[in-house]
Amino acid sequence: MSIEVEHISKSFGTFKALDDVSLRINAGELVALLGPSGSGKTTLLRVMAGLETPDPHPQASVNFHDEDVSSRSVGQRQVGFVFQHYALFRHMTVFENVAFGLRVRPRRERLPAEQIKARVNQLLSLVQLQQFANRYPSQLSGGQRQRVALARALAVEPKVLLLDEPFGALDAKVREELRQWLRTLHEQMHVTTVLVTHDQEEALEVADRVVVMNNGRIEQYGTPDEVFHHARTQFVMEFLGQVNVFQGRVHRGKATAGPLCIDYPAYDGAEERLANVYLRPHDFAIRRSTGGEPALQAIIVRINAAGALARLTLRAGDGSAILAELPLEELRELDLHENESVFLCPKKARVFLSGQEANETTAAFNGKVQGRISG
Amino acid sequence: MTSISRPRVLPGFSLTLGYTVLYLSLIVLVPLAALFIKAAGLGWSEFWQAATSPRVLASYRLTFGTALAAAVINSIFGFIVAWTLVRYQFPGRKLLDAIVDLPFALPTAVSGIALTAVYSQNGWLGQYLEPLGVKVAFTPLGIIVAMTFIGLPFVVRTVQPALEDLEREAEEAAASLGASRWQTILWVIAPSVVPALLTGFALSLARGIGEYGSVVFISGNMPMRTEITSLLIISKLEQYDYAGAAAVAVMMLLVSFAMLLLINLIQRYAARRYQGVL
Repeated sequence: MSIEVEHISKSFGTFKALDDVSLRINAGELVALLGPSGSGKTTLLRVMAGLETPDPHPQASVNFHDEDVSSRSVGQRQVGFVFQHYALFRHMTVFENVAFGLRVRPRRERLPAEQIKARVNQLLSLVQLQQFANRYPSQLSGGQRQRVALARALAVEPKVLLLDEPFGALDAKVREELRQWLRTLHEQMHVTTVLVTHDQEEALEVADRVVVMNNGRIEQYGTPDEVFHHARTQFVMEFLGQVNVFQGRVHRGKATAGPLCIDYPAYDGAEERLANVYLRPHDFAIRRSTGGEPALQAIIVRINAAGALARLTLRAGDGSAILAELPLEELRELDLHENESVFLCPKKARVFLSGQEANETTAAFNGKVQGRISG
Repeated sequence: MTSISRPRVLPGFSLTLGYTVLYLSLIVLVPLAALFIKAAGLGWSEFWQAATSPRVLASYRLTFGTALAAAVINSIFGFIVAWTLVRYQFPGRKLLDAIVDLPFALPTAVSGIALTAVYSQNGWLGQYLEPLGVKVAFTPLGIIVAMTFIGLPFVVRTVQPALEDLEREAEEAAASLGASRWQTILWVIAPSVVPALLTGFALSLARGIGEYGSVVFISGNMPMRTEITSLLIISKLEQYDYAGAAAVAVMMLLVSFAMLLLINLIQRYAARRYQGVL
């Protein structure tokens, strides 16, 4: 079942949580709403669920499977909603929690007690909690509670599953496990799922598509690969992953930032304009000598070699910190040490004109075009 | 059981326990013991006679019956008041919140006189109720009104924190699972609030049973009909029948204690059942 929201705005007092947002989520997809706190992602999810009423707008609508559900209450929308803090019924056992949605149905739609029992047990085995059926939520760990919440939401056979930072309150290890588990579950059930998170790793790993939000607007909507490698705006560039920013200028098809010089055919005006040049830590090649290429000289401040990639913190001549990554073998080959001076040669970069988002940007060095990035 | 003498990381247990025992003895147990000793001076058959004469029995029925009715009324309406104060923002909410405490602060005699003035035949409300055949002043109904008045803050003040503790999200979860508002109130909200509501009920009941000042004015104090037990004790004292007064008081004390104990047990059961912590 697809989800479509159109022209949704939502204000709380003077704060605009959502600013004319439109979004279409295809049936069966797992989509992550990603953004910093206050970006409106939870509000958007709650509007989809019917827990929040959007500001009146003539074209505002929420559609499930091309059917307008704006006027339906949360109970009539048949959504499964999972809250960050579980929101389990404290006075009910795990079994009773999961059975709740089945037991509150009007009498003529209600399943017989035997079938409810069978269904609940089936769900509990799905979330691997059969042996905890008679426990109370206070006797479970955070990860177990969240799985109960998920089983409870699934009990009513929801058409869409909405998860509000479901793993936000859990520790890293459990979060990682549940993330994998959720992905597997999604592949089994193929219920359209929307997941709110502020954890980019979670979003990029689990989701089919990612919606990056900021200030109540959608910055970019695309596959994890698209949003990470082809960020459309400076916000997305800075929000996803680590990035080094250099302030520079563009004119006549060239962008310069310090010693770096980059081809930038998108702007060939004679007038100089300010621009930001972005380089991911893995976009640098580390050399002991420049080899004639434009390069940035920097001193290695710290080497962190825990993992397949070694992470280097460097200090440039002007005192700014630079992050670089290189494969561990390469680090060993180069025999790099802290307090050594090295040259950073950019392999590729993204250029954004200041005060202007979503431009055509290209990145090239020494006239060797690295490939155009769609904007 | 933790031993009393065991050394602790944070000391202070033996001091505070000692203080508690001493304090409770001086303030509560010694006067109550004096009461029992006084009543014991009567001998068993005389005691029984004094504590169960028809006039006294009628006063027990009236006192416990009206206090029970008032506590039930307070539990229902006190809950609604607490709900309104916790759940909604509206102009004058703070004022309303303060008004709830007034019955605490007002001298009971003042509230008794005020209620009598309002509900008597010529009072503001009494003059409209009287033609409808509803007599409030000088009837058991008037006693219930007075006890409801003085017991209301107990329910509101105990239920309020429990309602504030309620998870908004649990209600939203219930709604998203298709529960109607009534089902949510019945199955999700009520169980979390029941233990607090029981406490409020018990406090309101206890206050009603022991109430004197506000009731004597509105009840009219007709023996066998509108005479509450505390008034009966006072009139026995006025006739210098100290032992008789003590006998009635002991009876009252025992019944009250049994009732409070019962409510406490129910409450513990409810708390365990609903909180799921053992």
